[in-house]
Amino acid sequence: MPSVCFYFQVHQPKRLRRYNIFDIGRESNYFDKEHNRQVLQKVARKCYYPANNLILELIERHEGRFKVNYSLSGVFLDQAMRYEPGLIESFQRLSETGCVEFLSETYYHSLASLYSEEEFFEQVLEHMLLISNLLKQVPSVFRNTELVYFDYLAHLAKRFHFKAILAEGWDNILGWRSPNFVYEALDYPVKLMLKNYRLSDDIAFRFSNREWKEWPLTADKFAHWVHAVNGNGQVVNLFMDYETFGEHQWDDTGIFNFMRQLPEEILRHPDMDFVTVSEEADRYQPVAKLSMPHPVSWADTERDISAWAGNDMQKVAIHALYSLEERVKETKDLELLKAWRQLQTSDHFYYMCTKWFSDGDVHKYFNAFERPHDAYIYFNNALVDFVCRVDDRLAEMRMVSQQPEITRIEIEAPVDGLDIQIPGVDLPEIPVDQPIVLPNAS
Amino acid sequence: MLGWELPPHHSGGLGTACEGMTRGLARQGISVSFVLPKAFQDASYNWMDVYDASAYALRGIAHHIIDEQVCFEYITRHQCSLTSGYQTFAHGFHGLEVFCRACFQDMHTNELSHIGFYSRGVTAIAQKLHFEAIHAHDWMTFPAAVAARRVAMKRGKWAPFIAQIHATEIDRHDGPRIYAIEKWGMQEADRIIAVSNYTKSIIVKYYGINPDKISVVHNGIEPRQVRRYPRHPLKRRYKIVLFIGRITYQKGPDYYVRLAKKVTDQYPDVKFLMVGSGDMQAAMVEMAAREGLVEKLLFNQWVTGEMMDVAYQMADVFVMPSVSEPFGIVPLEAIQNGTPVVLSKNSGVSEVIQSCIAVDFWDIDKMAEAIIKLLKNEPYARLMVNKAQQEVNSLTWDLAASKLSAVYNDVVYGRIKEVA
Repeated sequence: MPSVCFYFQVHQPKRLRRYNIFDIGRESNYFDKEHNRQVLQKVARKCYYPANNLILELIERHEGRFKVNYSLSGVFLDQAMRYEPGLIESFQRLSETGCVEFLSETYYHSLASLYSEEEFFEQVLEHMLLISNLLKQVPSVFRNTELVYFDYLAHLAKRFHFKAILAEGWDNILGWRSPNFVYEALDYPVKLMLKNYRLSDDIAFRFSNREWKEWPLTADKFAHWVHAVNGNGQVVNLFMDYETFGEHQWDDTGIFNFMRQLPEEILRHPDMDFVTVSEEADRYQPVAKLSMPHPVSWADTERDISAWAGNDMQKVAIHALYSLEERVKETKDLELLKAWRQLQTSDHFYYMCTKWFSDGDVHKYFNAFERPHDAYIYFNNALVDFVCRVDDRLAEMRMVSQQPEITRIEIEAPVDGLDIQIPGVDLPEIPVDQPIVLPNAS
Repeated sequence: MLGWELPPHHSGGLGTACEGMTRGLARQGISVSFVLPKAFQDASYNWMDVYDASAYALRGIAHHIIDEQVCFEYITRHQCSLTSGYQTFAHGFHGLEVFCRACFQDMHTNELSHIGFYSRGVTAIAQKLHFEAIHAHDWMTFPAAVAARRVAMKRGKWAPFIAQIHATEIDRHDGPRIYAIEKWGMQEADRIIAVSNYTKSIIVKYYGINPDKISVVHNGIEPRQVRRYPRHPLKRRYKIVLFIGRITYQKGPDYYVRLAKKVTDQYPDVKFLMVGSGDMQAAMVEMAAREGLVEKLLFNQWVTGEMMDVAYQMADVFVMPSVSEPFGIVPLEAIQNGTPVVLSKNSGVSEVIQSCIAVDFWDIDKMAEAIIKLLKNEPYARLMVNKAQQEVNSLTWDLAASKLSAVYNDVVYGRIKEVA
C-alpha cells in the first residue's frame, strides 16, 4: 500500500542590494529591503495565499485524508512576519488541521552543514525554536538546504533525534534501486526519504512545457503514473519548491486546477493514501542502507553542490565568509551575528554561478543580478564592510578589557537651590570678563 | 574643427579634450566652428559656433522632423551610433541596424554609415562657411575633413587638413578596417598633431608617416578647485590603491590584478579598487577570485562627476598600468585630487609629469615596489604629489592652444608662401 508524500519548500532569500565601494563603512544594511518586500508580496499574492487556500480546501474536502509537508526557511519567516503577517496566520491555520507537518532546516537556508558543525547546530536549533513558537509543532524530520545530503549529515543530525532526513533520489547513487522505498543512513539509524525526481519534476518543471510529449499533464494521467508504483514501492515522494504553484508555473497554465483534482484522482485507488513524513517514517521499515559519501543536492543536472560552490568566485566567497566564524562569535554581538548568518544564505552564492549551459536558463531566472559577477562584486563589498565592523567591535572590546575598572561618578541632575559639591569633579572656573582664546583660533 | 563629441554628451576623454582645446583657442583669439554629428539644445558652447551635421545631412532626405526627445533617449541608452558609434565600433556592427532609427530611417545602413553620414553633413556645412584650416580629431572625422578640403578647393581656396591623433588602432586593437582609415587619413593630412611623443613614435613606426609632418601638442587640463570630501571610513584600517578607466585590454587591467596579488600577499591591509566597466570586467572578476583576492580587490562600475573625486581622494596611490595610452587624462585628475600616481611608461602623460613613478606595464615587481614605497613613506608621497600638482597647474589648455595656433600659422601661411 504505497503512500504519497508531498513536500513543499518555502523560501525567499534576503537579496543583497547593489552595495558599492562607496557604501563601505557608511552603510551597514546589506540587503535590498524594498526589493525583497516587493518580491515577497508579489509571490505571496501569486503563490503563497492561493496555494495555502487550495491546500486548506483540499484538506477539508478530503476530511484528513490529504496531507502535506512544508519546510519554511527562517529567512522566509522573518520577512513574512515583517511584510505579510497574514501569511503566518495562513500557515498557522494549516498547522491546526493536523494534516500538515513542518520540517526542520537551517534557519538561514545556509550550507553550514558543509562548512561548520557548530554553526549548523545553532542554525537548526534556532529554526526549531521559531517553528515551535509560530506553528506549535516540534519538527522531527530534517531537510537540509537544497536537499544537500551526505553520510556525515546523519551524524550531525544525531543530536536532534530526527526520525528521518530528506534527500535526492539521484540515479548515480541509487543505481538499480528505486527511490520509492525508505532507506536508512549508513552508520546511524535515521531513515532517508528520497525524492522521486521524475514525478516531482513532471509537476515542478515540465508541467507547462509544450514541447514535452506528455503535455498537457492532467490529474488523472499523473495519478495513473503514481498508481503504477503500487506493488513495487512503499512511497512516492514528491518534493518541490512551493513557488511551483503560481510562480514558476503561472496560474494560467492550470497548475492550481491540476492540484485541485490530483488528491481525488490519487485516492481513487483504494490502496493509496497521503502521509506526512513522520508518519511515513513510523510506518515503513527501511529496505537497505544507503551511502552518499559526497554531497548530493537537488539542483541542476549535476545534483552536486556546484551550483553554490562550483566556480572560484563562489569558493573564495564562501571560504572568506565561514573563516570569519570565530571572530564574529567572539564579538558576542547579536546584530553582527545575524548579519553574518544572513550572508550565509545559499542564494547569494547561487547568483554567482556561471554554469550557463544546461542549467543556465534556470539560474538566470532566479538571479537577482544581471551577471554572476555582479553578485560577487556586491557580496565582496559587503563582506569588506562586515569585516571592518567585526574588527572594530573586537578592538573596542580589547580596549575595554585592558582598561582598569574606573569608579564611575554618577552625576545627578542638579537641584535648584542646593549647592552640593560633586566629589571628584574639579572644574576650573573661567573668569567671565576675560575672552576665551581657543587654540588655533588665529 | 571636426569632432565627434563634446561634454556633457561624451563617452570618453576625446570630448573633454575638445572642449578644453576650443576654450583655449578662443582665448587665443581664434574663431572656431565645431561640427558635431549631433548637437543638443541642452548644451551651450558660448565660446564657439557649434553645428549639427545630422541636421544638414538629413536635409532633403528625411522629411520628418527629427524629434529631439527621441534622439535624446537613444543617447542616454547608448543606442545612438552618432554619439557612441565610435565606442561601439569596437564591438562590431551587430547592433547598428537597430541603432539610430531616428536618424537613419530612410537611409541605407552599412558598417561605416555613421561616418559617411557625418561627412555628408560636414560637406553641406563647409559650403556655407569660410575657414582657413580644418582641424579633425581622430579617424571618424578624417573622411569629412578631406571632403571639406575639397569644398574649399572648389572655391579656389587652400584650407589645410590638420589631423589630430588622440588614439590609434595600435592602442585600441579594434580591427584592421579602422587602421586602414587612420592610415589613409594620416597620408591625406597636411599636418598631423600627436598628443604625445609616444603617439608620434607609434605613428612613425606603425603608419610609416614622415616624422617631420608630425607636431606634438600635449593635452592640457583646466585648473580647478577640488572640493575635499571627508576621509573614507575604509582608510582608518586600510591603505587604498585605485584604478579608474575602461576595463579593456588597452588599459592593462590584468596587470593590475596581478599587482594586487603581489602587494596584498605581502601587505594584507591594502585594498585595491577597480573602478570602471568594460568588456574585460567579468574576466577580471573571475581572475581576482582565482587569485583569491576576495576582500582585497573591489570592483565598482564607472562613476562620474563628484563621485570620481571621492574615488580619487579615497586612494593613497593611483595606478595606470596601461599597455598603451596615447595621453591619459585620469592621472592628472588624480593629482589634482592630491593622490600620487604610478604610471605605465607607455603613456603620453608620463612625458609631462616628472613627479611620478613611471614603470613598464609588465614589470609587476617594480610596480609593486613603487606602490609599497608610496604607501609606507607618506612624506615622500606627499612631496611627490605636491610637485606633481605644480606641474599639472602649469599644464593649461592655454599652453596647448598657443602651440596649436603656432602649428596653424605654420601650416596655413607656410603653404601659401610655398605656393607663391
